[in-house]
Amino acid sequence: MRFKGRCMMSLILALLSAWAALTAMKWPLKTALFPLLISVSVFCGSVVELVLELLEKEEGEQKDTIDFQFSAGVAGPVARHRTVVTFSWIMGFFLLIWFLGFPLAVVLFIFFYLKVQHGEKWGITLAVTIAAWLCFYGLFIRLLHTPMQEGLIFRGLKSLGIG
Amino acid sequence: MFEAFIDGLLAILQLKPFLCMLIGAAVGFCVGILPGIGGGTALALMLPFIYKMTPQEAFPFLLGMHSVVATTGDITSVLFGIPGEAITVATIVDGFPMAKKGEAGRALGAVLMSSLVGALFGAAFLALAIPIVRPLVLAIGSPEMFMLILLGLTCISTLSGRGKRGLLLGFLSGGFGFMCSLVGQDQQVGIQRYTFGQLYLWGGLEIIPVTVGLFAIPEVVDLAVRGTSIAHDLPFGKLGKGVSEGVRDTFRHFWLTLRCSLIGSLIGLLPGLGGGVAQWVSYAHATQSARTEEERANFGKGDVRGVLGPGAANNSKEGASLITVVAFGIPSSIGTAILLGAFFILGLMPGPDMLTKHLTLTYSMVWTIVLANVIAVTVSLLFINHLAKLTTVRGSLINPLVLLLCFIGAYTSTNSMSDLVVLLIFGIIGYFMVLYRWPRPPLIIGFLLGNLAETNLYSSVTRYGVHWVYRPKVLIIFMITLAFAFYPFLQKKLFHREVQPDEI
Repeated sequence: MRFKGRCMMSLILALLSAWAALTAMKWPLKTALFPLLISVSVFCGSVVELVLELLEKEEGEQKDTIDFQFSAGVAGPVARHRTVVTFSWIMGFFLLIWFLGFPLAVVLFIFFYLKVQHGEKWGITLAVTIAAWLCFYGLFIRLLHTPMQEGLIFRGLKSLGIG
Repeated sequence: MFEAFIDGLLAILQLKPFLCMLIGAAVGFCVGILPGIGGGTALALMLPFIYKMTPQEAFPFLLGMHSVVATTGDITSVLFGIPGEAITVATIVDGFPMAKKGEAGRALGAVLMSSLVGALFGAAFLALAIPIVRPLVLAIGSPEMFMLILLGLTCISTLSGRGKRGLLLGFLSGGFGFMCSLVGQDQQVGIQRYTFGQLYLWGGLEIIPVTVGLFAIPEVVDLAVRGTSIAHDLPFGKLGKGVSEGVRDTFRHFWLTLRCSLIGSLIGLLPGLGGGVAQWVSYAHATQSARTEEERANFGKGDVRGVLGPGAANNSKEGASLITVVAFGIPSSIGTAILLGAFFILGLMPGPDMLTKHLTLTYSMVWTIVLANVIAVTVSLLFINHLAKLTTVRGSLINPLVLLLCFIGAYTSTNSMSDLVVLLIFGIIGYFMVLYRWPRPPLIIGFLLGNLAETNLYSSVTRYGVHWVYRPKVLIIFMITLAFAFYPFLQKKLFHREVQPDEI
């Protein structure tokens, strides 16, 4: 019996559905009918899946899905490292948007991603950054007037009467 | 009637209506390509422009835009793995792997041509079905609708996994999708469900951040891990050559394309289901058309049939979804709901008048769908080689731009930072689902249909008690659902019987 990543998925889903069912039990029947029906079914299914996973002896057999699959050409440790780095950049972009707002975050993210992460030449880095920002600004701010939230830093400065 | 049909064509070919249609199609072309700006949003933004137009100009303008959005939305799905529209997600499953194999041209050729076939089918369906569709739509009550939703989910679940446990994983994924749809204010009593006191969650999770996170983030991570271009550094010559091959694929699998168009049209008729469901059900049908386990194994890895089915269905449903609006004033999607608004703005009343007094206008709508799609597909085919070249640009340049599109696409849902949090959460969920081979399509279909399923289940129980389960139409749909669930197993068994050497 081995505990694998897939077991963890089933376990999380089982816990989540159990919590959803327990929460739904406090509601009136009208509100709780569908949530109970779904969460109890999902709980039972995920427990069955978890047990089947734990009892399984061989890995890999008949577990293909008709869906996108990650490329297999890169060695495990390298792939894991690159995955962590990419998720860090994604999280970094989110934090930039949160703290500085979209217009500034777009410039900084694209510039640093190209220059720091991939060491692109100055010409390409600046050209791509400027082109992306112009497209973003022209389309979403000038043309569509999408309301962009101000960054946390600027809001903080404004509340202090600075800027 | 035939006279009105021809008059409808002549009406659209006049200078002003034709120009309005061209402008609308051009806007729809751009809206379709850009993730985040949905067809519904674009229609809503364009609505104020029709106040000074006549109905003969306004409908070509709006429908010209509405009918090409799904066609061009498939382009970004194939090239970058980002859905241009929520209704073009299924195209990613096989379209993007084709692009990664250096077959972007073929995938684009196939998806554009199947989209055209689907659009023409949908227009013909609209033209022919109006007089006969009334009894069908009225026969679908809430119990039947609930069973149809279960049928849709079953289709997706059976397609998603292979082997003995595929169906279970598919249902679990779909169930999780249903659970996600429960977030927000309860429609019956108004109680907040699973909102954690967050105002953002009162209205439920938004479809765009969920879809983009689930489907685009894992692709971005994979591209970064590979460190190559989308097309794996293949020489460009191979990409350009595939376009005519893709167009030929549509006609090579013409019956499949037509069947998926029919699925799209039938789903388009049913209020609430829409293109999001049509694409997946037709994808399910495309995978079930595989005769052997080996053939089926190619789906998800770049099988052209997985591109043809959704391409045809999400366009054919456009024409069909207009039937209920024109004939009964019942919108079947956000887009048609906005179009219904256009009827009232222009002083028209959907219903019998549209089939008698304004029949020419109704047929001009049919022609608008036909002409706008022919123009959009022709223009796309002319530029397809240049579009396919994008898959040869190295990943380091593509990735930040794709991420920008993901973030801005998600943000434009409600213009809230919470949209980005949802994007990140579902990006992580999507990554682990791909890593551990849990199918993502059932999650999306469960999420899309959750509210509708709940409403119909509630109505059925309230109106009929437990007796709704014994209604003949419900039982028939239930039998079809069972047949869909067990079809892959039966098919496998039958195939094995065919090749038993001792039986030859």
